[in-house]
This record gives sequence, C-alpha cells and structure tokens, in this order.
Amino acid sequence: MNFQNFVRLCVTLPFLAILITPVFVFAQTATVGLQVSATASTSVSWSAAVAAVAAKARADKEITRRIAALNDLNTRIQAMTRVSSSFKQTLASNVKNQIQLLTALQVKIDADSNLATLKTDIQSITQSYRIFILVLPQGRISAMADRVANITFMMQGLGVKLQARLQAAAAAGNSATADSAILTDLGAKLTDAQTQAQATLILIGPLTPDNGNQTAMAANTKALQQARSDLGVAQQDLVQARKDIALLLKAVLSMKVSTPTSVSASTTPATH
Amino acid sequence: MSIGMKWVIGIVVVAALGVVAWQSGWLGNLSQPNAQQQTSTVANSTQTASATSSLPTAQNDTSNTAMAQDAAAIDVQMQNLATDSSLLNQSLSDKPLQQSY
Repeated sequence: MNFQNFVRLCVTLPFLAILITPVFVFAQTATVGLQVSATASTSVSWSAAVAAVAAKARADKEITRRIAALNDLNTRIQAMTRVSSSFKQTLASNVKNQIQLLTALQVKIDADSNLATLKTDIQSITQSYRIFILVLPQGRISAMADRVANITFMMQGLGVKLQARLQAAAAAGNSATADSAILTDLGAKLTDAQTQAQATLILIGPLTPDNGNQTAMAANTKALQQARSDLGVAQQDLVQARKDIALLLKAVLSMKVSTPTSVSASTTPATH
Repeated sequence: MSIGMKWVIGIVVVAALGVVAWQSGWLGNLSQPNAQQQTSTVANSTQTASATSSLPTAQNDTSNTAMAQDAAAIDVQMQNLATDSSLLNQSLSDKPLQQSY
C-alpha cells in the first residue's frame, strides 16, 4: 500500500463507520425490542394466571361463606316448632336449593381453566347474591317469628297458672287488684307479640328474588325492614311480658295461701 | 212436566249447589290465586301448629317449684330470641366479598 492509498483508506473508513453504525444500532434495537416483547408477553400470561388464581380464591371464599350461612339457617329452620310444616318445608327447600347451586358453582369455578368461562362463572356469584340476600333474611325472620310464637305460648301457659294462683289467693282473702292489672297487661303484650309475628310471616312469605329488577328489589328491601321492625316490637312486648310475669310470681309467692303440691311434669323443656 | 220446567229446576239445583259450595269456602279456595293461597298459608302458619306451650312442667301444675321451672325455661328462650335477633340483623346487613372479575 502506497501512501496515497493509505490516505484514501483513512478518509473512507470513518465514513464507512458512520454508514455502518445505524445498521448495527438498528439490529441492536431490534434485538432489544424482541426481548422486551417476549418478556411482556410472558409477564401478561403470568399475571393473568396469578389473577385467575386470586379470583378463584376470592370466589371460593365468598361461596364458602354463603354456604356456611345457609347451613346454619337450615339447622335453625329444622328446629322451628310453631310454623306449619308446609311453610317450614318451603323454607328448607329454598335454602337447600341455594346450597346445591352454590356448591355446583364452586366445583365449576375450581375446575375452570378457560379465562372467559371463569369470568362468567365469577360474575354469576355477584348475580346470585340477590337471591342469597333475600333467602337468608327471609329464613332468619321466619325463625325469629317462630321463636316469638313459642315464647308467647309458654308465657300464656304460665300466665294461666299465675291467674289460677291469684284467684285462689283472692278467694283466701288476699287483695289481688293490682295483680289483675298486671295480668291484663301480660295478656295484651302476648296478643300483640303474636300479632306482630303473624304480620311478619304474611309480609315476607310471598317475597321472591328480584332478578335484577330495581323496583322489586326496593319492595323486597322495604318488606324485610318492615318485618324486622315488627319483630323488634314483638321482642319488646315479650321483654315487658317477662317483667309482668316476674311481678306476678313475686306477688303470688308473697300471698298467704296454701300452695298446691307439685305434680309430675308431662312435657320436656324446649331447648332449640 | 214440560221440558222447559225440567231445565228451570235443573238450573236452580245447580245454582243452589254453587252457592253452597261458595259459602262453604270450597269454591273460594279453588278460585284463589297462588299468591293469595301462599299468603293464607303463611297467615295461618303459626296457628296451624300445636298451640300447646312447651313449658317443662305439667299444664295443671301451679306449684311454686313448677312455676319457677317454667320461668327459667322462658328465660332460656328469651336468650335464644336475642340470638335470633342478632342473626337477623347480621343477615340484613350482609356484605358480599368483592369479586375480581
């Protein structure tokens, strides 16, 4: 290589380097781009899988919670003694149907491998909540009304005994005027408690799931709240009736009259 | 007896049977819509059950001991009523676990 060629080479090489560099840069960018794209794709599928697992866990937790609540309710329904057998059977059937549906849904969600199907199934949990939120209070209201009726009958039974003792005491010369007023109040409270309990059952018995209808939902909510209010009144009636019984018992025990001897019990205490 | 008279008597007999059936409630029950039947069933739901009390002692036992036992049994039920009331409140204020999808 002569000097002239050497100079040409020195001048050309930098230009060549400048021309070639973008190609290398582009190639490098393309490689990085591919790497980024591949990483993002992997991240998306990974995060989707993680989200699906988390979604399944939340769905499972909610379904388990509802099934537990319905099982508790079913146990309580079975212990009801004062409602008619057909009413009790209807309640129990509704609860059992819900438990079966939720159990089947839980199994399906656990087995879901398709994201779209999983989403649909999980959305149905939210939709079925409208049924759950009706069936559960409906059962609880019925159970409480049943309890009110049971206590009312028990208090009526004890009231009859107290009345007999008061009459015997009055016949023996004791003054029982004030106690008669308490006895009258006891009767009034028990009558009202029974009326309230009946009213709640009439109110909530015919309610059906709203199926997304806002008007029906509002009507159901209103009826359930009214029933709750009625049962609150019934409960207060019974609390007052129990106070009346305490006063009457105290009065009877303080009266000077020969007390009847105890006879053998024919029934067993209600423990439900 | 003419055919016309027989028809009149027949119609009167059928009408009379209809009135009897309606007044006895049999016809009325058949014509009630389902919702009303359900309401009626519910309304009678606590009446059709046995009206006997579930006191632990005999109905005619008015001794002090028996009445004390009865009162104690009522107190147990009153406590259970408070539990029922609490569970009812829980059911009315239930909130679902928010779902991811």
